[in-house]
Parts: sequence; C-alpha cells; structure tokens
Amino acid sequence: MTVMEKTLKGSLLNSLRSKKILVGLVIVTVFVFTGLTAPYIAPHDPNKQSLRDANLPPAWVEGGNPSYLMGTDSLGRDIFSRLLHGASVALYVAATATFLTGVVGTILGIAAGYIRGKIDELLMRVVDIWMSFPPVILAIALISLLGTGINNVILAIAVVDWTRFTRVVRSEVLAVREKDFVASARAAGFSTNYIIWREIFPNILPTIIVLATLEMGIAVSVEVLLSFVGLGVKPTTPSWGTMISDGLSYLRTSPTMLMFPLLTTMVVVLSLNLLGDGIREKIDPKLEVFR
Amino acid sequence: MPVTTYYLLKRVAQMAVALLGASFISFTLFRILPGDPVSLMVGPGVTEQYIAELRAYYRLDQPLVLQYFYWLIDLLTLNLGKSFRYGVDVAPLILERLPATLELVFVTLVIGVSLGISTGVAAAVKRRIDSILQSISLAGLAIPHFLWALILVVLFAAILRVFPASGRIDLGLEIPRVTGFYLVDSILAGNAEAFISSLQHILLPSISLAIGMMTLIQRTLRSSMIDVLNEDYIFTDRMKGHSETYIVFVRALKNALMPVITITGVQFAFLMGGSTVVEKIFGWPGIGNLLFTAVQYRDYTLVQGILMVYALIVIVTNFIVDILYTYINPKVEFK
Amino acid sequence: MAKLLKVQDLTISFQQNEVVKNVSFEVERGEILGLVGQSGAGKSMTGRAIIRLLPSSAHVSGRIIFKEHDLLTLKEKEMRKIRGKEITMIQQDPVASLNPAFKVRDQITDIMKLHLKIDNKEAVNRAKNLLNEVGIPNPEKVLLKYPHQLSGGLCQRVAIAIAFACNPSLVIADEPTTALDVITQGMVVNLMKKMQQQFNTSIIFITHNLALAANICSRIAVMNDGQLLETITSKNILTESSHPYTRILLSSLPTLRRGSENT
Repeated sequence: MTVMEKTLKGSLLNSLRSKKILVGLVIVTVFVFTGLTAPYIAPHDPNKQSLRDANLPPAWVEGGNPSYLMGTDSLGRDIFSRLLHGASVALYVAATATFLTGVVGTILGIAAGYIRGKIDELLMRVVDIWMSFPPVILAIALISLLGTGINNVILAIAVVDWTRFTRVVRSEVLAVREKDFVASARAAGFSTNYIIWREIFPNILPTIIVLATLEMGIAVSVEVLLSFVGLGVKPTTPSWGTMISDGLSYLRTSPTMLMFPLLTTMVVVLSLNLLGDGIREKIDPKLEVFR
Repeated sequence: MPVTTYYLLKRVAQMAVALLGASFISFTLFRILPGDPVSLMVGPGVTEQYIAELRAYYRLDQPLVLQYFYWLIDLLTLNLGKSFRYGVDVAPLILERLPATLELVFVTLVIGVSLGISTGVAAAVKRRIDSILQSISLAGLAIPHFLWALILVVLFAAILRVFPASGRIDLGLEIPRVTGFYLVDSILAGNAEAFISSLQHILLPSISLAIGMMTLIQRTLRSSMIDVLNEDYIFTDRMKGHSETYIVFVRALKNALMPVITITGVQFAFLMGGSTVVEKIFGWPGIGNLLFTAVQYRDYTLVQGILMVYALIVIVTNFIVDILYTYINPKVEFK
Repeated sequence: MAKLLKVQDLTISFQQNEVVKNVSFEVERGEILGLVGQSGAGKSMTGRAIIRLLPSSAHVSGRIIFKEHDLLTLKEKEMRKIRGKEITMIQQDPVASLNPAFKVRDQITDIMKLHLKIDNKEAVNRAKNLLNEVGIPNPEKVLLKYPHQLSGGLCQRVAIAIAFACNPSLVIADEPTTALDVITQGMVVNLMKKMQQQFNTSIIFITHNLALAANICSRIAVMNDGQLLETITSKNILTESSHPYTRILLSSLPTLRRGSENT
C-alpha cells in the first residue's frame, strides 16, 4: 500500500501543474466554501421580500443600493444573498447525489465486472433498457410522481445517472482484473472480498474520483434544470434554477437578474468538469467517461 | 448483403423486448406511488363516486399482473388512454405535437453532424485549428443544453435581437399542414416568407441542442482521424500518388467515421431529453412541452404515453444506427 | 546505359539524430538491388526517402536522381505524378497495407484511373488480368472482397498487383516477406522475379535476410547503423565481400546457397 501512497503524493504535486486542475480546483473550492458558509456570510435573508426595494440594479450601476450588491429581484430579495444560498443548495444536492450514485454505481460496477456471469448479463440488459429513456425525461417523470423538493431531486439524479457510473466502473474493473497482480492474488488463494477491496478497488479509485467530480457537475446542472422548470426545490428555497427562471421574465428590463445566476451556474459546472477532466488526463488520457 | 433477414428479425425481437422493458418501467412508475394515485390526480371537492369510477377506469382494483396485462394490450392496439386534462385520447394528442419535436431533432442532427464532422476533420488535419478547438470543446461538452439555450436566447434574442425567442413561426403566417414539418410544408405551399420565418425560429433551439453533440462528434472524429491517417493503408494510398484531399475525405474519412456513428447513436437519447427543456424555454409546441403541462396537471396517462413515445423513438433510432453501422464497417457482419 | 536511379550522399535525420548517413548507391534498369541490414539500419528510411514519403519531421539532404531528375527538388504536385506511376512501394504487413473499408477492386482500379487515362470498365478488366498475373485464381471473386477476408499471402499478391499496375520503372519492396510464413515467402519471391522479368522493372528489395536477398537480387547493398558499407554481387557474395560486418552477417546464417540459381 505504501507504493500507492507514494504515487498518490507524487501525483498530487504533479496535478497542480495542470492548468485545468488548478483553475477547476480554485473555483470548486470557492464554490464549496461558499456553499458551506452561505448562511453566515450572506448579507441578507434570501427570502426576505421588500417591495420597496424591488428590481434594483447592481450596486455599481446608477440607481443601485450598496447594501444590495447585485441588485434585487422582483420581490425585493437580495440577489447576492440568494446566489450564495443557491450555492448551498447546489452543493448539498451535488454532494449527496454524487455519493448516492457513486456508491450504487461502484458496487454494481464491481459486481458486474468482477463476478461476471449471469449477474453481469442481467445488469447490462437493465442498463441498456434504462439508458433508452432520455435521462431528462425520466427525471421529470420521476419528479412528477414523487413530488418536488430537494431530496426528490437528489433521488431523481441518482435514479437517472447510476447507469453511466456503473458502466464505466464495470469496464475499468474488467481491465484491472486481467492484470497480473490480481491473477497472482487469486492463485495465492485470497478471498474474493479481499481481492476486490484490497487489489481492485484501489486501482479503480482514480477513475471513481474522476467520475464523481464529473457527476457533481451533472448533479448541479440537473438541480438547476429542474428548479428552472419548476420541478426542483420548493419555492421557498433559493436555487440558481429558480433565479434563472425568474430572471428570464425580466430579460429586457433587468438582464442582470438572469445573468448572475446563469453565469454562476456556467462557471461552477465548467469548473467541476475542468477539474474532472484534468484529473482524467493525469491518470489515463484515453479514459472514456462521457456518455 | 451485410444484414441477413435472420438478423433483422432478431433485432426486431430485441426491440420488442426493449419496448416491453420500457413499458414495464412506465407502468411501475405510475403505480409505486405511496397513497392512492387517483386522488392525487383530482382536486378537492370531487365526489366519491367519481373517484370510484376513475379507479375502475384505471383498473386499480385489479391484481397488478392483470393491470400490466391490460396495459400491454392497450399499447399494442395503440390505445394510450384518455388524457385527464384535455379529455381527448392521448394518442392523437401526442401525434399532433410530434412533428414539431421531430423537426427540431432532425434539424439539430443536421447541424450537429455536419459541423461536428467538418470541425473534426479540420482539427485532425490542421494543428492551429486543433489547438483552438481543444480549449473551447470542454465548454461545449460540460455546459448542458438548457444553459446553452439560455445563453443563446440572451445573446441573440435579447441583446442582438436577430432571432426570435420563442414559437415556431411568426404570428399570422399560416401554412396548410401536410407533413407537420413547417420547413417542408412551407416549401410545398410555395410560401417563402413562411419558410424563412420557420427557419429563423428553429435555429436557436436546434443550435443549443446541437452544440453538445457537435463537440462530441468533433472530438471523437479528430482522434479517430489522426489514428487512421497514421495507418499503413493510408501510406499505400499516398504511395499511389493520390492528393491529400482525396485521401482525407474519401479514403480516411470512411474508416474514421465508424466510432462517430456509434457515439451519435448513444447521443440520440440525450438529444431527446435535452429537447424537452429546450422546447419549454423556446415555447416550442412539441411533445416535450406537452410533457411539462401533463406533469404540471398530474395527467398521468398523458405522461405515460409521452414516455413510451420517447422510448420508442430512441429504441428505433438505435436500431437504425446499428444497421447503418454495418454498411459503413465491412468488418461487422450480422448473422 | 544511363542508370535508372542514383542516390548520392543521402542523409536523413530526426531532431539532430542521423538515421541515414551519406548513403550512395545506384540502380540499373531492370535489376533487382537488395538493401540488407538489421532492423534500425536505415533501409526502410532510405526506401521511403526515394518515394518521398518520410514523416514530416524528417530532415533530408543529398540527391536522389531518378531518370535525370533530382526527386528531392521536385514540387509535391510533380512528385505525386511519379508516385504510383514510376515508383511504387510494397509494405511489410500486407493486410494492414490495404484499406479495410474498400473492396479490393477499388484499391486496384483507383491507381490505374489516377495515372492512366482509362475508364472504370477498362480499369476493372486490367485489374482482373493483373490478379491473374500474380497468380490469384478467381479474380472476379477476389475483386469483390474486403482485405480482412483475405489471407496474408493473398493480400501481398494484391499489393504486388497494385505495385505493378501502372508498369512502374522502380518498385521498392520493404520487407515484403517478413510478415509471411516461409512457404508464402517463397511464393512472393518467385512472383516478384516473374513480374520483374515480365515488366522489366527495377526492384529495390529491402530485407534483413541476407539469404533471401542473395536468392532474388543481382546485387546487394549492405547497410548498418545508417551507413552503406559495401555493395556486392550476390553471385560472388562469399568471395567479394570484404567488409567485416558483411562477414558477420554471412557467418550468422545457418545455410547459404552458393551463387544464385533460377534467377
């Protein structure tokens, strides 16, 4: 194991040389930090309405109010504070959904890839059929049945995207299990459990990390998407998606209402992808993780 | 003939199985709800008798297996039930909106594939283009369809005002419905103004959908092309004295396109999904938009029907892509 | 009689690394010259330099005079007229050298339609005859096949047919038998001898197998480490060769037929 630890330390330093990882990491860190501290650093209550202060432009524009840094929306709520709290929502959804999808995907992927046989065949058939449903539509249908709310959003993401995770993990496991050290472990008589957790798993871990990072990007996108169409978080919870939806109606008069959450979402999603892609380049440039 | 009748039959059977699986998923989704699905559909103040009638109509009191059985029979007779909200049969309702979605998807494919292939070849052949494309392609892949749609709306519809932000055609322009595809019907009717208007309206939504696919095709083709151009057989073609253009576009491209076709097939499902939200953003009157309304009004029969239609489109397209693949790749023969 | 090909002081380098150093030799009309040496001796590079299909990162200097023209000074457009028509090449891996996405027919007719002004019908006819010449029975059937459906030996015959299709003055065969089994090797060698006699083509036969070269070639140029060490007649290979390296090559062979029969 120490060899692995040494290579990990070496590659950690090496990764900082990658522009993608560097930029991605910085922004993602800001994102995580904001998400975690939003309740403490937001200047206003994101749900506090004030019709008197409605539709204010950003503070640096004429007519703006310095206490509302990015202006207010149609109900007088501070956009900046809502943006910060939206980060919390996005972070919570991304982390939880990724964890869920990751656990399910990894377990199933290892089961299919290592044990093979009937389990593998059955699982792959299910995956194929599952993947013939357009993911967005499946999510929408799911939400329509389970109802809206942040936890259902998480569930929807996991239900829809577990197949992709499983497929990639499975193909990685397939590749690793043919390696010599696995064969020698098997010859030495180690139990399947041992082989999976001590030999196979550490070798697919980098792939899982890449997948997880990319998954977070997808989770944020889906959360924003669902909230945008009104099928996401409850209306009282601030989300970038609802902010974009609100902003769309005021596109002509107050374009910043739409642009701030739109740009923020773009930047965060892009950074998560940059990070994931950067890590992917470092571990195995030929790895196929996109659809 | 790379495809035998036996293989075709086998594939049709596989499609049927996939459809069966899809129908099963549709079916269970409806029924795994905690509580009574029917009372969730109706509002308050409805008589008990009405609820009982609805329950009988949806056969909710029958054993689950029988319910599924009836559902399958309904599917086979193309009876998708009645829309709760609209009060009419689901099947014709979907059929009326379907051409709008299909037209959108088709135009997206045309744009995505043509731009993807051309940029892919360009990137493989010219270094400078390649470095530019490498940097922006990640954005193309990472940012989902609906964000692109929003960006394009903001840029072109709101700020630059060159394209309309919603709808399928300018108000007041009418064309007789022959195929349901406005671009085709306007040509058939000889109405140039309608054609231009339809084109303007379809551009932004299809471009937002095409960006992701275009980027993926470009990346795949580029890498595939680079590999192919280094192969021995391309050396032979060069040895023969062919011009580089001929080699790239005739001899190499055919070989390099194989993985691209596979990717495109897989992408199609995502395209269908993305079209849903894009339809909503652009107020496009297709089945995606219909889905949102159905969901909003808890019109479960409509939701189920639309789900099945989407699944059908994807499954059939995958089948077509597989067949297409055998024509391109002589090494693959289906027995 | 003027020599067909004169290579003078050919030097090929990749990023300061010289892989071919000041190589000079000549090829007469109608002769088979062997280019023999170990892997990495620079033989393939020399062959590719003549037909000007080296990787773009290669630096080439010297002169390659073919029929009174220095090939290295020609424009690419002019060089393309020569490739396939005057000079052709046969590669080591026969199956890999044929395009998997096209039928055999297309791969033989294309070179003829490109250089000789004939139509498709005529080209297919000639292709059929060519396949007959290279000893392929049922040429009509083979024409409609794809390369992956053919054996290595069959593919090499096709490659030879392609190489001779436009009646070139020079054919460069780069290890054409290395990827084949011994029996097929013999077949290919005999085929090449036959084609050469029939068309009076010059052949540069690149191989690491000295015995094979002695069998088919009238003269052999021995290369090592980018340099051309000596050129000897095969007939007198045992007596004439003076370079110590050639001696090493000779001594490492299990059997060597003296002289060359059946030339």
